[in-house]
Amino acid sequence: MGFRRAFRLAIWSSARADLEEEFAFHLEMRAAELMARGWGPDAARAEARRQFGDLEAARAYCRTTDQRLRKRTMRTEWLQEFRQDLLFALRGLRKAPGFALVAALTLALGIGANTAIFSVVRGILLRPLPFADPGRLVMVASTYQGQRSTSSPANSYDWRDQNHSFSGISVIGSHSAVLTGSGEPERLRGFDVGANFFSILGVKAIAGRADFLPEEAAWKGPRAVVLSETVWRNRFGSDPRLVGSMISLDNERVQVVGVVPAASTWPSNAVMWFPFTMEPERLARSRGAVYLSNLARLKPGVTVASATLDMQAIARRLETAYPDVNKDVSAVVIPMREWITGGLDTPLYVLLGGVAFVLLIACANVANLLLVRGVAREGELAVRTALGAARGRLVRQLVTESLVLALIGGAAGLALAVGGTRLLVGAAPRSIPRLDAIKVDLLVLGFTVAIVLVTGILFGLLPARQVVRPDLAKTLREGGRDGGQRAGGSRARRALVIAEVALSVMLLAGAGLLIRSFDRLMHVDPGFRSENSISFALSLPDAKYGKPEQQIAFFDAALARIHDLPGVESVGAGFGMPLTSFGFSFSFEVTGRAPLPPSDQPVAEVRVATPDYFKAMAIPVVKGRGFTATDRAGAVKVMLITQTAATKFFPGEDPLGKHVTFGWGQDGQTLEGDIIGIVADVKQSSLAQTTLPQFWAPYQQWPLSSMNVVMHTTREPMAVVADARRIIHELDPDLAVAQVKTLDEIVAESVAQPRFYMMLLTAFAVIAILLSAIGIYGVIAYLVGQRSREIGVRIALGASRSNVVRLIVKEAALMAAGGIGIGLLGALALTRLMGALLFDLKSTDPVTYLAVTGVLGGVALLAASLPALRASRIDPALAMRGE
Amino acid sequence: MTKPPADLNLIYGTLNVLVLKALSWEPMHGYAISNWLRERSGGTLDIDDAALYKALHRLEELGAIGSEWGLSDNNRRAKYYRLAPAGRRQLKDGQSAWHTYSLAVTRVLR
Repeated sequence: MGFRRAFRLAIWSSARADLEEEFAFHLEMRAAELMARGWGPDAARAEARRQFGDLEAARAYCRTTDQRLRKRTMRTEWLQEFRQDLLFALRGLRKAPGFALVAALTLALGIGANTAIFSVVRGILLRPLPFADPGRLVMVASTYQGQRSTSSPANSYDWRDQNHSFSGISVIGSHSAVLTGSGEPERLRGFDVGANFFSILGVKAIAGRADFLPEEAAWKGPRAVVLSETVWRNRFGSDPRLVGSMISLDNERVQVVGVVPAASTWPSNAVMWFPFTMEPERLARSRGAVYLSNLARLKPGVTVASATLDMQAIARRLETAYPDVNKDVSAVVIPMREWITGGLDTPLYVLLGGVAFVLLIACANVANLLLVRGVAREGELAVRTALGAARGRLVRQLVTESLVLALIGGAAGLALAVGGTRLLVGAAPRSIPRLDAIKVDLLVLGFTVAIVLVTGILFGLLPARQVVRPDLAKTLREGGRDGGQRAGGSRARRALVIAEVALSVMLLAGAGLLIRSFDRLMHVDPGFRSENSISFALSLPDAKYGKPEQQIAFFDAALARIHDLPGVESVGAGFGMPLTSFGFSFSFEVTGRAPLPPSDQPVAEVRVATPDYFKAMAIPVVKGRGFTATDRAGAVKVMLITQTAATKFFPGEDPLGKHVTFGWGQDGQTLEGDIIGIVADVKQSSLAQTTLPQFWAPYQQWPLSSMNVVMHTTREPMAVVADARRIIHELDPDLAVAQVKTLDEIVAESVAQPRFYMMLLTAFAVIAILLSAIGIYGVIAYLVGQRSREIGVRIALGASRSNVVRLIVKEAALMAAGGIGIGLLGALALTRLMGALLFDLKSTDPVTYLAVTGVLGGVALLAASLPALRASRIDPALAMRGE
Repeated sequence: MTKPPADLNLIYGTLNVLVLKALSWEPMHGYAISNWLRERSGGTLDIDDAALYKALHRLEELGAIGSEWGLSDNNRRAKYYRLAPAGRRQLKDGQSAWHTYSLAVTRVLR
């Protein structure tokens, strides 16, 4: 015992002193022996010294061996003690399984949720884009009266030729096509891009080349396409001979010139890229047709701001040169990252804030649990100190227990994080970009575990601090019974619970606002019937259906045959589905009104539909008549307008019979017609959007090659689609039936993002409430345990059971009230940041705040009632005996 | 006092075995071990005290012996060494190795 203690406390200097003492003892003993044999004192000492030999060498040698020995001894003793502490901690946790389970679960929830969410946020917002030097990639957008828009080919080409800011700039225009000739026809999402598009991105081909040759990018040049690795793999079995060979896209022979890696494709949903080409005469006339995006790479040293100035100068020159179409048109340069994640930062930061709150609550709860446990063990610790246990040792033991808890919680949290991240990525709407870049972030996990560890150590140490205080005698005398009443510990616990409740209130308020907002969104009338309806997209390739009559003939035949299918109640075709932000806007003039310069003419979106489309979608004709089969090519040109268009463009007038002429046309015809009816509004791009004015033109007079067929069915819609697909393939086996979706799905997808955020924040709020309930329960239960003697006395003196319950619940109510008060104030301040996520709802919505107060108050009372009831059943005789 | 043949000290590990042997009787301090070795060898083995202490500290580092401070016969604080289980094994091995070795040498010289 003493031997070990001597070593534990030893420091190097004492080791040296020991060595000197050992040598001195030897020399003196030898000298004494020599003197006993008659040597004089000096001679004896000298002789002893001589017999000893090389003292200096022995001293140096022994010092090093002693030092090594001591180091090793201390290390093994430390390890032994650590093992002891570990076993002790595990035994202690096994003896208190409730505490261990709740604490570990709390930690796991905090760590897991935090890591999962932060991994997602990092994957979407913070991880670098998968392109070379992505910081210099920018998007160049046109602006019209300050609003961002797409650009026209002619303007984009002038930007390309006149800018001084970019090492490269490329247009991007949508160009999907049906792949035939290798299995089932499939519609592939593609884009028209500049010849140097992939050079700008910094993406290298994995086979062939990624950039197009100048002749391929020229009008009527050889047809070329770059495919994504995905198509190469799925459709061509990664055949290396594909590069250089011809494939059939929209019934045209196109040469595959290269394959690019799937991980760095862009736009992210694209699988093929064509060189952008345009007939030179059309290009010159295209300045008003805006439908292109522009990707560019900044030259070294050029900033986004200076590039914007450069582009604006070019835009001003174009405005002067082409005032009729470029009035109020300018340009803006946006970093690519911002372009991709634009609009997502608010919801993601809200989620991040939410999950940080969950972590804080988890930490508070663990701290609370450890405090309660620490106080409960004060008696035990005092006894052990009195019995001679070193205080440092006790502190180490307590910390070890916290560490063990944190480790268990961390391991469970890691599992939760992995599962949670996978769940999140799976549940996230596809419209959120870069989902594929997401994986569990080890850095984040480490950070979270570190926070939890520090919390655990800090609050594990609090009871240790009490051990080190010198009023052991008091603690021992009172058996640790007054621990709960002691002001310090009790105040800390209450403060923690109040903080937990306050944080929960803030989370619940945020979640509540999103729930209420989502509920309102779901009550918005989309303007069409979504039940038992299904749609699919059909695109007729120009090579085979170049003439309008061919397109009309095909759709006439297809729709007529689908209509005859069993289970089909009505079927129609329209250009672009509602809620999918798909449409073209043009300016127009009303015959009989004073002519306006083009820049002042009214603008409206124009869509095209077959007569039965309105029946299939259940869009009512409010006034006049809808389209009929007689509204054909050659007949009088007609149009329908929506109610919003009628109110906006014909206030106080009857629009019926008015003739409108649009500033757009095709095949030598101008889009125009007599207004024959008014139809109800349809939400075109999203439920949250304010309804925009629209015009409808009949398909037979304005045939288009791409249409969406909508069927209203009396039986299972998916079964009907199979029949419809068969009919389409009987008519033309090379056509692809694409984007098959029920209208219910289209509605659900359009609200997928708000629903996702709402569900996540609600999940956080639920976790937060659970944790707070555990916190309140723990503190009250502990309080009841501490005060059982006092309660026993009260009962013995005649206090009724309900008095006791009230006494205990009051404690909880006070804490809850404090927490709710603080939380409501915090929520009012914080939810203002969520404004962008709320639809038709103010962030101060009183209903939400009332509900939050009710829910948390209720939960607090519920959590307190259990220990309160237990208190009321205390047997006064037992309690006063002190057991 | 006659000096022992110098070569005897060169035989590897001999001093260690002797120290272990000394401690196999009872825990002793360095001075006692020094005297015990002199007496038992009849003065033939006059071992350098410096070498003895080096051996003691090295054996302690290796875990063959342990140490503890105690009181000497004349009531002075002294560092007592005692044989550890590892040292007991080492002693056994060293003894039998020495016997084999000396037997071999004796046979050759006979």
